[in-house]
Amino acid sequence: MLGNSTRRLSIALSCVVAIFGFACSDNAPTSSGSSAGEEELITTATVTLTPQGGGTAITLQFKDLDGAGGTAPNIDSLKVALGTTYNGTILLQNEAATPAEDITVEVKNEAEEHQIFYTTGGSFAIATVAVTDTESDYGTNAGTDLPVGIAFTLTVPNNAGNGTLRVILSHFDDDAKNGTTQSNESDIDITFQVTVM
Amino acid sequence: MSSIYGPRQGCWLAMRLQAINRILLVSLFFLFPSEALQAATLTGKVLDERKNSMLTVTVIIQALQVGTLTDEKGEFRLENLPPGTYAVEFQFIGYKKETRDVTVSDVQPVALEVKMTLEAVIGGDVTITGERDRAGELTGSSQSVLVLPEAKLEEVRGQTLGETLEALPGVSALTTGPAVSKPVLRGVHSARVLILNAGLNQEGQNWGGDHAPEIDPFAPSRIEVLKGAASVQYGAGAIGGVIRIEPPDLREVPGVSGRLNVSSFSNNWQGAGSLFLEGASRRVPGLAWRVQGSLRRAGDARAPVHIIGNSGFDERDYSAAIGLIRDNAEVEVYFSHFGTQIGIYRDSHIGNTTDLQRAIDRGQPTVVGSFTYDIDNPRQVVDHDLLSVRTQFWFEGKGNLVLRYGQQYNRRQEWDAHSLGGGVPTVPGFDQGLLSQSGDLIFQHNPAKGWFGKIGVSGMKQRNTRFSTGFLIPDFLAYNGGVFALESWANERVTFESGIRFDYRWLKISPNSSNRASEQVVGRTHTFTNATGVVGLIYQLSSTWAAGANIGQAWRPPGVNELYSNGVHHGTAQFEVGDLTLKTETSINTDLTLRYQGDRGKGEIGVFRSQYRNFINLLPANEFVLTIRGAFPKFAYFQSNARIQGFDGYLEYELNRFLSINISASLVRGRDTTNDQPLFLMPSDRLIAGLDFHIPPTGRFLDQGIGFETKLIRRQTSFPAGIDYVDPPAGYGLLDFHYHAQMAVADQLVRAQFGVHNIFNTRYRDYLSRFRYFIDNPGRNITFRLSVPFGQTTDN
Repeated sequence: MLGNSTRRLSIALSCVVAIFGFACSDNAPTSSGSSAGEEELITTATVTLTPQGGGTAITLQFKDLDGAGGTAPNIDSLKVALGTTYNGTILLQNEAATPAEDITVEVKNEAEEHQIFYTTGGSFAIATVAVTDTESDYGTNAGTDLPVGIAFTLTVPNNAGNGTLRVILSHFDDDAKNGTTQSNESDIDITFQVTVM
Repeated sequence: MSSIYGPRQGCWLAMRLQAINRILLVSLFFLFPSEALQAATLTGKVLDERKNSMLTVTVIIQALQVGTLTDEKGEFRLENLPPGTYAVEFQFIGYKKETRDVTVSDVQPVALEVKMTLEAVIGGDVTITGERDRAGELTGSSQSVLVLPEAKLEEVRGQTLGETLEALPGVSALTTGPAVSKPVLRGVHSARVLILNAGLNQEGQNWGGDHAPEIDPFAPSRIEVLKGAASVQYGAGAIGGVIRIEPPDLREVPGVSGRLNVSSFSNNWQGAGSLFLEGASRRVPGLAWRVQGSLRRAGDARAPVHIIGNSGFDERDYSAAIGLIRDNAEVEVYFSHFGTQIGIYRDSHIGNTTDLQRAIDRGQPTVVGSFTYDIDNPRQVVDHDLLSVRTQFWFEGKGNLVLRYGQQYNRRQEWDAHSLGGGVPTVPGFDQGLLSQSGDLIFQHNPAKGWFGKIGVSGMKQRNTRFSTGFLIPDFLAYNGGVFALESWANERVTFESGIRFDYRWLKISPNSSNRASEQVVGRTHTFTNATGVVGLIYQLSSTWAAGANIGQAWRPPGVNELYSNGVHHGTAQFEVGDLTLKTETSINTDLTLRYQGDRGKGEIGVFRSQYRNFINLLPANEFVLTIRGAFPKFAYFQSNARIQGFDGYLEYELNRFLSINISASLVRGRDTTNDQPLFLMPSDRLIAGLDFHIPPTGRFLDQGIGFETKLIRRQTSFPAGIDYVDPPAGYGLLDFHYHAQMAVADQLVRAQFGVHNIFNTRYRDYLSRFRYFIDNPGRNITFRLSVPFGQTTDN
């Protein structure tokens, strides 16, 4: 009457699968609390400006050690002298890693895919930035030798006023870089307040 | 004594239903007198689930307008049929309608064996049934249920689930490029829609709007869409509706058969194919098996004026099932694997709000690419394994018990365009594994004095594990449990449905220490409980009209992403922040449905209203988060009261033997009643109208038809201010053409389909396309499909 053998078989089979299933879960990797590998992060951008006529170098930092969110970033403001031209460089770091990683090295290695743009705003807009490096400074270059922007000069005319200096690191896919247009992928976009003396 | 009357013995309802069956058949003959005088013969036997003979089952070949009833041995005989291939239908009230495609010839008679299964009642495996006898279809559910049977699915094979369901009234698709689409039911999607795959709740990272359901489009033999809340039957996930994906039943007649499906699509040069084989053992009665494998490969899709770069995909799926049925018990084991790799349109990967604005202003790709099948970063790599072990026992005169164990493992990897320094990423930006194990026990009692129903318990254990890098949601462990009871009562005019359920969810979040603020998580435990109830009424107004009303409660616990999100969402440039204090979202849902089921057509109009409490909604927090990539607008998950209401409906009607029309319309309005503003991303109003011309059978062609269909989408004018970067895109209209044919080739019923979608290659952007900021929707698509069965004729 009752399919006893079938019933027994089906129950047995369910059990086997259930055991197999739970065994699987034990094999699955479990939570490890701290993350196993850190995604890359840029915490710090340091701009160094050295007056061309000699004098003390100015350093200017954007620092956000805990990444996006959380504690707000620490942003220096810039004090520049009127009628002065500065030689500038930028250093990008991940200070969340120990020891701190120099991300600028990666930008140099991938110079053909990156460009750093500097724009001045407000009454400081008449100050000009000229990029002084090109891709071939960091490696061989096959096509047009386009600017990179790790090294630059900042010229502050006598009639400049207070304003802003904006730094954008554009990442380019394939062949989109043309030396003048920013890309859709800004890895860095920071704005410093500038006062003139 | 196990009698030929089986479980129906002594049941007055069944006796009356047999009488109704006779009347149905007689009226059918009256309407369509038979005129066939040819030589082929079809015989067969109809059995119930326990292999008892069933008498007075209606056997009909609609195409020939002939039919008969089974005798005391469950046998029937149809003589003088013109040779050809026909859909033979078997109906018995209280049982699911069965259809078999059979080729008969004048050379040898064909014998069929058909098993009928009990019609389900409300809910569960049961409510959502479709395609039954007229009375059944009219009174099947007090909610709106749409059914895509195998024949309909054959016409759309090779498309994603979202694309397949998009044409249905009340359903739309949320897309992230050409290859990722999610079904939206009456304005809600993702965590608010439950996908039931082979009886199990599909458990992936469902919450993500760009996480498409992991469903092999060739696997289901039937898809059912229940629009509206069904929390009592299915638990928390079903607050907005249920999509039920059903693999075919196992073969019953000894022998081996199969089917080969191929499809091609011109827009992205997609090729897709699937091979399906099934068999039933001769030596071991009741033992049957099925295997199936599918491939889908596509390159870049084309919008009318440009190529959508990096939008190809590569999908490989397979499944297998084995089952044994003996006397009063049945066991079935089903396993499926879904694996895909999907390219994501590269320009959608933007850095910050300025970049997004620049991409929107440009309105077209940065680089004019050429077509390729290569899949580059950014891309998604998704694998989903599903195992279901189902056992069922029948207890003489009492009912049946279903015990189901399910296990699923979902692994999702999302690769960014490149690492921050610019190189090829070595690890994915998102990489999570979700292991789910579930168990269900459901007892369904036999119908007695018009009452039918079931009780059940279900439980699930879930563990989410984050691999390597990129933080989006934390690791967690969760347990869900639910108990429910559903009971219905019916007489010949009225069906009354009721149900109640209690759910419990325990969620433990693993702590995560990180030197990045957005990744720090303190370990916590959350618990959520809820009780829901539902009542429904169906009143049969006449033999062709019925009205249904349903009012029910539904709920949903906040998702882990809603509790713990903390970071920038690329593509929308929002800094999304979760809220640990979110409460359970609940709703009260009212559905009114009017159905028509006549000789020449069918239709349905549904009016619905969902009143939500604590509706979880991502809204701007009116502040900016300053990061090294620039300032991002902060969006947070807020709870408010909301109302989603609207109507949808369809009509299919045969004007005469050659011409039929179909029309469907959908309208949804969502409002945040606390803040008195429209809800974001509600589907646009829509009207679809089609005209089909049927070509009478000639020669080998048993069925042919051509049709045109136009789809008109209105611009969405109801949207909240200040959330989106651009206003909703303009409305649009598309025109489609299709031709289909069924041919008898070497005794097999071969189906072919040819179609042109978006004939005029119209440029448009859909409001529910997440890429509408950047790029047009794909343009013209010419499709070809072929379905070739083999060994389908019965064993004789």
